[in-house]
Amino acid sequence: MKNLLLVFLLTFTTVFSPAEKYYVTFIKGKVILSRTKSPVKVGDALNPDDKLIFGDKTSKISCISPGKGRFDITAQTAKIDSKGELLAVLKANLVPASGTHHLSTRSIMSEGNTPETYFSSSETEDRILLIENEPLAIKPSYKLDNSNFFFVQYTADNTTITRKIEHSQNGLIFSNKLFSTESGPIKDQVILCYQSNANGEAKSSIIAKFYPILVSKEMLVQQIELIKMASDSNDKKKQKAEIVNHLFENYGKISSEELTRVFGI
Amino acid sequence: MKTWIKWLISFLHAFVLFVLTVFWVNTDYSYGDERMLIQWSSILKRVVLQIDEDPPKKDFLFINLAYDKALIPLKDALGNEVITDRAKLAQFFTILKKHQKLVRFTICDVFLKGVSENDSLLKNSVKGINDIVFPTHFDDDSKVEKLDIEVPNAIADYSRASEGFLKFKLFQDDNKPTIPVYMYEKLEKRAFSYTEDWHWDNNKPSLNSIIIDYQIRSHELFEQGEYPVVSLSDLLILPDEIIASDFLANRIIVMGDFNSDIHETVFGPTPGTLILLNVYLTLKSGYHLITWYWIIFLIVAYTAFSRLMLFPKDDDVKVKNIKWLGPLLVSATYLSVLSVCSYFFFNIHIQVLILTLYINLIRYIIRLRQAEWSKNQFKTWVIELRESYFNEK
Repeated sequence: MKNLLLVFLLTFTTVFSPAEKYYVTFIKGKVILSRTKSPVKVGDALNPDDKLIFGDKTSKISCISPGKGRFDITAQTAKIDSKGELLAVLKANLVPASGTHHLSTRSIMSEGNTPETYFSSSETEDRILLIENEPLAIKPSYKLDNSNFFFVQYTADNTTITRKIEHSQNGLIFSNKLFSTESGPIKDQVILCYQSNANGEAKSSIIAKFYPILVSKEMLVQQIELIKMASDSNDKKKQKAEIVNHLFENYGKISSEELTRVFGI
Repeated sequence: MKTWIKWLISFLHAFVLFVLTVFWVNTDYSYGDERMLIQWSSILKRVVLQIDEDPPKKDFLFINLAYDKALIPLKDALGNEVITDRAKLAQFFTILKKHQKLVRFTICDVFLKGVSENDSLLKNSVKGINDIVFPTHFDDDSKVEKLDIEVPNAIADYSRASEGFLKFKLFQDDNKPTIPVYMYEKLEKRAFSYTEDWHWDNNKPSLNSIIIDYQIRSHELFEQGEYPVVSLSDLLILPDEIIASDFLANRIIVMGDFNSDIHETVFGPTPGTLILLNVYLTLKSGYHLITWYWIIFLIVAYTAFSRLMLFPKDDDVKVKNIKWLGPLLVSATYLSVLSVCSYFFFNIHIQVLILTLYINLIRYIIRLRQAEWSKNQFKTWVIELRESYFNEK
């Protein structure tokens, strides 16, 4: 009888013990949760058996679990399924994010944004919020100097306009002149291109297509302060969520890192 | 000499060896031979034989602060210095304080020197947390440095007894505890005292220099992912309730920069915070205590050793040359085996080199009476000595 009870208890605890949860803390690119058919969001709790569909090869999510720590799941490890989608089952693709550590000290600067993913957003239909004259860090694999640079191309007044994006050592600088013509600020889609120069041979490539929404920092600061004042909650996370919603709906996508860096939220 | 007298002398001599052993074990010094022995026996015990049991992973949460940095202006010069982001620390400790009854202990290996605009925020968030400790250090004048933010603190000078964290001094000035001692006293409800020139743990004699038992090793954290390691920024993204219930409840929270604060150990490069945690785990296992079992083990082993070395079988026979190389190797081997056994059962290594030299010197003096001394004999002996030690022919 005792043995039967033991077997029952073991079976019960095995079957009904709560599965490890994986909380999403970072998303790069577009990642769909197969179970809900909706994009994965920061803060979502995933199960080990959840299937993820990655938008492209550069997509990635990071998650933390109470029992296992931090993990990265990238599209690199995903397999192409019968529909041609990059599919990964969570538990089979968990790679410890702290796999390597360096003895030397590392720069505390951010590694920079990946332009292919930063300048695209399904949530805002590719409207990207850019802060006027605030440098946007780009990952170092994109060299920035006189021969290697980003430029935008768009059509206005039946003319194709090409303009080089200014840069500093901190990243790309978006000014008013970049997206203005004689008839005023442009409203159409622009093409972001990168020109590289290797061994004296210049080569351009299209990086992304997006709708630029250029806003001054001062204007955004005023709006952020207003939202904070009007907010019912004192919880900073909730306030940040309200601000992000406002910016995404009324302007365009901006990364959480940029919000923290520029506005300290 | 009667056999029982030989055994009696050996038994009494065992106490001399025991006192020498305790003296050397408790000092800061160690030697190359000791390091090699400790390294290989540790690897044998923990990696090859795997007779150690890892502490449960559900008991710990490691928070890596390597990516949560901020800049503050240098105090007495132009430029900035990098510190851990105190605003984020304050945000975390505010959550922790709210749920502190759930948390077993927090070790935050962040040296709070230098002034930042978030200091008062951090101070207020830590104020009221009972089971937490921050590190402090000795300054150049051997005085404990006063932190710029008032928080509970203990010594974290990894003042090591030898190269590569072979030994760790629990009390470095005989008064102020180190972080592992502080944790041990708080978590295990123990109390250290220092009387009669000795350290006592709940009135039990304790060593002050201990060999660290690496129960959680660096590769188990970062390569094998056996214990949860998260970054502070990742954690703070989650709602407070989830942080408290899923990540903090019933755990020891270990916070530090696991990327830059790295030190060489017998198990390879290891974060300083993990070394401190392993010292605490060594204390928790009671490996610092001098037990009756260890004393009896050593006295028995030393009695046999003394009998073998001091009273060999042919000790009544006159000899022309006193052999020294064979006995030296035998004694070194015996003590090495004894040291490994002592480590396996009690986690205390004994000093091989010093005891080997001592016992062979005593043995040589005793054997002198057996030598048939003559002028030629003495001349031969001096020539051998010169060739052996000064390499002159």
